[in-house]
Amino acid sequence: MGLALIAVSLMIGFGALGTAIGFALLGGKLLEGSARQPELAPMLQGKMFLIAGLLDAVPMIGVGIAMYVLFVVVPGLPA
Amino acid sequence: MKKAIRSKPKSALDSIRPPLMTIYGLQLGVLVVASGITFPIDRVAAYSLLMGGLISVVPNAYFARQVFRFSGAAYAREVARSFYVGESGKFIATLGLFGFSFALVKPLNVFVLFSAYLMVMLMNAVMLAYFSRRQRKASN
Repeated sequence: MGLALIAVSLMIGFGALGTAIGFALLGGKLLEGSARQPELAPMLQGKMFLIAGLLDAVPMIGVGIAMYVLFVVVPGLPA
Repeated sequence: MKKAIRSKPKSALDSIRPPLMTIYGLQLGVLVVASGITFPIDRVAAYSLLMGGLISVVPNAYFARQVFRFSGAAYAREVARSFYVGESGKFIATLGLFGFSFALVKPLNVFVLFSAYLMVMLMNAVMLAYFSRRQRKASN
């Protein structure tokens, strides 16, 4: 049971970390791009929205699996 | 609907924002229809399908709403901040909705729930890319 809980925390933690790193890079590039070429800022925002949707797809699936382990697998395990 | 997409944008925000209401409305419509078709065959699979889809649609809609609150180079800092706020909210909402489904809804068809979640996520990416391309062509 303890190992399952560690697995859940790793899945959620690394999922959040990966998303955070990706968004930090994206946000930084958006600010940089907007400062260099202000006329492109709206277009960059639209493109960033598209990429953001793809960026967090895999971590979100990981979060779903973590919740499955936490609420379905762990209660069935011996204490 | 076609006319609204092809008409000239009213503001800078309209020119970059994909038709979010159309995209999420279509996703909800597809979900409800698929769930309605599945319902007479398997009740558990029908509501699992609906829940899996909603787990994807609701956080994505919240994220989209946050992202397009500000626009323009003058608000670049606010845009980046709203991206972070939207993503945090999306992460927490997904966590909560998955947790709610697995903890409180029984019986549940987990395979159908995850399949619906993945399908709606894929549909979201494809629709966003399609409408953005269409909007760009219309504005040129």
